[in-house]
Amino acid sequence: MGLSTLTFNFLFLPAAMLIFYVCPQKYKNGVLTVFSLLFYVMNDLRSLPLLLCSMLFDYLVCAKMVRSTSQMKRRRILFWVSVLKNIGLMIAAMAMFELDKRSIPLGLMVYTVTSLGYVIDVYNGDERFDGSIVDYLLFTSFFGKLYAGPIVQYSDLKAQWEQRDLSAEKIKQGIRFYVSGLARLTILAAGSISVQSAIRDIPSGEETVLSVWALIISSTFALYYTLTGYCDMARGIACFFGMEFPENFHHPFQSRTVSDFFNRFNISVTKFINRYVYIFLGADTNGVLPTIVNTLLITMLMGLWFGLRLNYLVWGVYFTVFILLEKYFLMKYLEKLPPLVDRIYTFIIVMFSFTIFSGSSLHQTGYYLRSMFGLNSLPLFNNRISYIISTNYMVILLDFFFATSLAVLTGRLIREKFPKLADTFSAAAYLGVFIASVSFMI
Amino acid sequence: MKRILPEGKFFQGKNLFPGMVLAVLLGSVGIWALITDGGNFPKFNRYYHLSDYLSEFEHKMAESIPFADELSSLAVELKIKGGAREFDHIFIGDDILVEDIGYPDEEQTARNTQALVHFAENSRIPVYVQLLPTKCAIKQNEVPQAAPLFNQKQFIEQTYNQLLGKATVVDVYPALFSKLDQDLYYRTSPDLTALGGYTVYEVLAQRLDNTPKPQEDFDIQYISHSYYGETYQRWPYRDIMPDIVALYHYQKNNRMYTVTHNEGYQYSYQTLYPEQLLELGDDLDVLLGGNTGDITIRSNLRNENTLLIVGDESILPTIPFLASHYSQIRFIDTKQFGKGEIKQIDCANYQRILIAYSVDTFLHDDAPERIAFLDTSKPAEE
Repeated sequence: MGLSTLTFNFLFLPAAMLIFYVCPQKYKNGVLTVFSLLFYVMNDLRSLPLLLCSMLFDYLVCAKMVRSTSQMKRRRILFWVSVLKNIGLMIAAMAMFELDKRSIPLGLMVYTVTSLGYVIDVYNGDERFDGSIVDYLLFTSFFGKLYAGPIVQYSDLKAQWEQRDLSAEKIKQGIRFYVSGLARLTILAAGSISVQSAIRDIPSGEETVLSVWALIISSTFALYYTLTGYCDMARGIACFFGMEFPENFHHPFQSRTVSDFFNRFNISVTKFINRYVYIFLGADTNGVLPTIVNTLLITMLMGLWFGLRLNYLVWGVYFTVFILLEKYFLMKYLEKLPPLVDRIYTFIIVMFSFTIFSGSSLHQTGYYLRSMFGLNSLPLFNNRISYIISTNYMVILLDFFFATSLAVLTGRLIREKFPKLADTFSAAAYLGVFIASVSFMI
Repeated sequence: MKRILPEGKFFQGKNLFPGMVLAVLLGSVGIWALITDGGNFPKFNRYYHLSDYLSEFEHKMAESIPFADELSSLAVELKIKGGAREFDHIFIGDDILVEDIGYPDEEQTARNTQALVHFAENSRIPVYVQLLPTKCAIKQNEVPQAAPLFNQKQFIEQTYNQLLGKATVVDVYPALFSKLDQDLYYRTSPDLTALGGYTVYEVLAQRLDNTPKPQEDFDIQYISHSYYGETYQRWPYRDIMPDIVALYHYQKNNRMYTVTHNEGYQYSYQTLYPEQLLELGDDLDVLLGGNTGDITIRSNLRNENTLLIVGDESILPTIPFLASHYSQIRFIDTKQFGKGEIKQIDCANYQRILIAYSVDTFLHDDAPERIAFLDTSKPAEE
């Protein structure tokens, strides 16, 4: 019962909303926590004990740390035990996935990183531990964000719970995120995945230069729309319950520099790594060499977020090269170029990065790269790839369109030109997209 | 202006109205599905694995939510507008659904071919082999031009070449392809129609040393004008006409038939087409009483000609025509039997063995491999 199922959208979600709305304010978080655990039971029952044990452990560590303010050594030991437990858990889950093909427990990365951040903040005195295990479980394991985040801060949520905004404006905002996320998942991500698997099914003797290009582009969009779909739905669902989650993707494919791409792609994870690793290591204030090492570490961690695989590490290294090149050499030129040229430059760099990301090994990445430049003696195209592209052209066009901010700009233009009709038009458009998304779920 | 809820307030009245309305709207869709089709939703019990239960529940939701058919059609229409011509390996042609069988499972195909060649070499009963091309190989005019299709014609020829001198091969491809504009296959199912069955029979009868009966010798009876086959069930594309199901009755010589099914226990029909089955389920079950895997057809012919057909369901539409030449035909579907059961089959009563599979089965299923267990060591009783 994922977020893009009929059972979730037409039974689970409305049931959670109705019970949440009618129950007294002080029990609202309890209701959401119960529904989050129920969601977990329905999706990954076997991993529920792991979630509960891990979260309970961190909760107890925080409680102990708060009570041991005068015993610094004890605090430090507790802190490191929790940090190592969380890092170990993530590494073990990813290793088992890579080596043993065991699926990663639902939401493990999200709840572990969220909890890890909280433990660090409590240790540093940046967050207050208020002792509510219900709130803590909701903060780490809220059902809307289990799939892909975003990573949130406890203090941000706490403030929202205390001044819960359930106004019509908030619900409208939630509907926009929710419908947009649902459409991204059911139409764009599913369409891109279908193109990707059709290309992967091409027998090895029938590959072409165009098929490898199309594979990389469709893989990139499949990942992008899956992540943004889940994140948008999470933001929308959060609004329905009076919360506000941060934006996790801000049109990364129209970044003007590679550094900018990292500020727009998986924003909450980037912020987490910046806050807890990069700044902790001294950021870029200690000279050139430490800056290089720190940047390398950060980008590699960004890659490792997606799995424990050599390709993901190399993906991070690849970005380090461009980030450092920009920082020390290219930026002065990029700033003088027209925005469109910058965007094309970044788009190409990012697109090529996905040859590393999509390959199951570096050998395969090398094969992709050689093929894309015609170095593998593959034909330019054939009937098979022409057929796949011609029968999926709309998905591919929509993928490109919605990867930019053109849809937002179009909406803004309509609002400026036809202010009176804008709301009606917007409502009709969202309703139409919602109906289309539901039809794709059947 | 935003209205913010203070902590601790019991009921927030109209502040909650927009959210409540949204929840009620979304929930009413789910409740509608549960109420209108509640009886058919799976009931959870301890034997269910939770994920299986939820998957079945989701499937039922998809069938039961309001306007499910219209929404399903909308998705197909939107995909067609977006360029799609194929869904879940089904091409949408001009008022026909054409199943794409895809590319072969190379290892399985090699094992099937090896079993077939070995069987043909060692059988003491004359062996005839027929590989039936599927709809996508014949109805090429209904498939998008650039669609990559497996070359079934070439595959059939290559397989037949390996059987040279070991078995008599029956190539029905040219006969079917020459009539590609006719309704040889159902629009909504991969099966041959009665006309398709007759076309195959014309070729097959000659290879089996019989003179095919002319089409005029058969009375045509239409039993259904609203048949939707299994392909339609898999992908409910709504803008497609239903199929007409026709039956061909041999009208000469006062021919009588007894069709006996063996499902561990035996039961018989005194007709090739037990029409009472129309009331019970699939319209195509009227053909010989459905495919139960082991069917024996006895006729009042006195020529003592017998034929054992080992294959899959693709040969069923042809059997009523063949029945007019034989006193006894037995059909064994190896998809439905294991090694032990196939070993038990007594081949000694039959003068010829016809191996008849669709190309789809031959490329992807292990059923043809099981003919290796057929025991033909006892010669046929002439």
